[in-house]
Amino acid sequence: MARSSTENMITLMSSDGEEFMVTEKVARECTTIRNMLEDDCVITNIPLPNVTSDILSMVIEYCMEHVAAAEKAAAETAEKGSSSAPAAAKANKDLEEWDKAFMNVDVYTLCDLILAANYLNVSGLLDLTIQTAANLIKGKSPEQIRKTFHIQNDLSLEEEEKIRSQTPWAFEKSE
Amino acid sequence: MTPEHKRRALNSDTEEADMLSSLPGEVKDKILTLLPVKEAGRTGILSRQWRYTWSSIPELTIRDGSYCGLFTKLVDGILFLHQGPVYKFDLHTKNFHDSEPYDRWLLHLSRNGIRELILQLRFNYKIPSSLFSCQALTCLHLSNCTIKLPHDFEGFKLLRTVMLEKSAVSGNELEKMVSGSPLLESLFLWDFKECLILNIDAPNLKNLVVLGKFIDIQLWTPGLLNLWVELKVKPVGNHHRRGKLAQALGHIPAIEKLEMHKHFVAHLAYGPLLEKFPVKFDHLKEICFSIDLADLEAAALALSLFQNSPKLKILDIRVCFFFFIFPFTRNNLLKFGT
Repeated sequence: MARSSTENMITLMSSDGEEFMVTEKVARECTTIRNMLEDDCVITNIPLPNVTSDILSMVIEYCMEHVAAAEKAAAETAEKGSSSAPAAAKANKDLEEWDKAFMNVDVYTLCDLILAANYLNVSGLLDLTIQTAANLIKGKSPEQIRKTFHIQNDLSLEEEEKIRSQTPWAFEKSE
Repeated sequence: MTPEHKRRALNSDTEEADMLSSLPGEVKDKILTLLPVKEAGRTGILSRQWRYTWSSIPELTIRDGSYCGLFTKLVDGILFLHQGPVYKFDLHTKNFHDSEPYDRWLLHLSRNGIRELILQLRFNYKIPSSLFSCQALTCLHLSNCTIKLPHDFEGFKLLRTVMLEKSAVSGNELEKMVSGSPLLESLFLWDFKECLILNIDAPNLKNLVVLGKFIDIQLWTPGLLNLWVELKVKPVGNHHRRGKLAQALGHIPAIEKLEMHKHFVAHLAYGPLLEKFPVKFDHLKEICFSIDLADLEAAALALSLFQNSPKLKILDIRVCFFFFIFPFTRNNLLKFGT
């Protein structure tokens, strides 16, 4: 990503000790980091003990892509005076496609990304990941959901029966 | 994908940890909120840990389409097992016409911190007094409801958005409700019943959408940015001939976008031409209106309006005859507010 030499660089350190150098603008996509920077503006090195390097690199990839898209849109608006609706719609669609491809991960990576997005408070990434998780649950039988997420069923048959009778509406066949 | 991700994906089947279950409660709530309530409830059978996870979701969106006769049991069952606050309750019914259970549900919600209430009903429902004590309410969207304020109504201190659709409320009660909601930012009155004179006094109002049979509109909204009005009745009679324009548009100095449809332009222009245009719109950037060019008074008014809007950038005029019905949908209306 092109950047001016005056732009501040921030080093983010993952739980396994890997360092990632990013522009301040990218780092500020994480509300948690933005708050740290606003409290202490000379900070340049931020340890993130809850995020592993592979997940942190993905979070950074997401933030960079979204910052670049926002910058591109802003540049186009500045150039033409106002943004043209079809161009903006195409840019949005491209970003959506990118998000969709980005979400092509296994459920463990997905859950790790949810945790990281929640911890770092990256609202766009959190929305994207929880929507992806919800889509993996939607329309599936309990057995399929357990299989997808490796959930152990520790309920006895009696307990299952009790849950069904307590919430009959949830198990009623639609139409 | 970077090489690390690929490696991780390949290793995944050696890990059998149930990571979804161990996500923080508020994250699981967010995931379950995105599911239809029936599917959220069904996760109770996944494992012991999941049994009551669904019951703390703070937002409930319920549609009656697929539940038919069990609808009352469904909502009763959800609210009975639900724990913690319900911040948002969005109920949309097509086939259910019994008001008794609604009173019970609203009482329950009024005791559990409701902030956003959406009731889209197909029968006329009188809102119970319990709702008017909900001080945390920020958004109220009612359709086909009748509102009668209780005598001890103290206002909605946090209310920001009100949308009343095909609903009945008297002019006085609406005034009282609006003036009792000091933070009100957006007010949508769509296909409004009963009230003929609209008098809005709301210092913080930014968006106002009005569609109805009003014969008089008076606005005291110094912060208003967007105004959309469509009147369904033609101006009649010789009384109130003057001053309509000053009443309706004289106290909206901050206005940026103005849309006037159907008989509103005629309503403003009704009566003799004004000698001096009573207002100047220093911030008005966009005007959109439909006008019957055969109506010279309306055309003259439009001209004066342009002359008194020095910052005008976008002008959208739809020339028409008023027997033509415009295709304004609710989606357009919602977009207008944003």
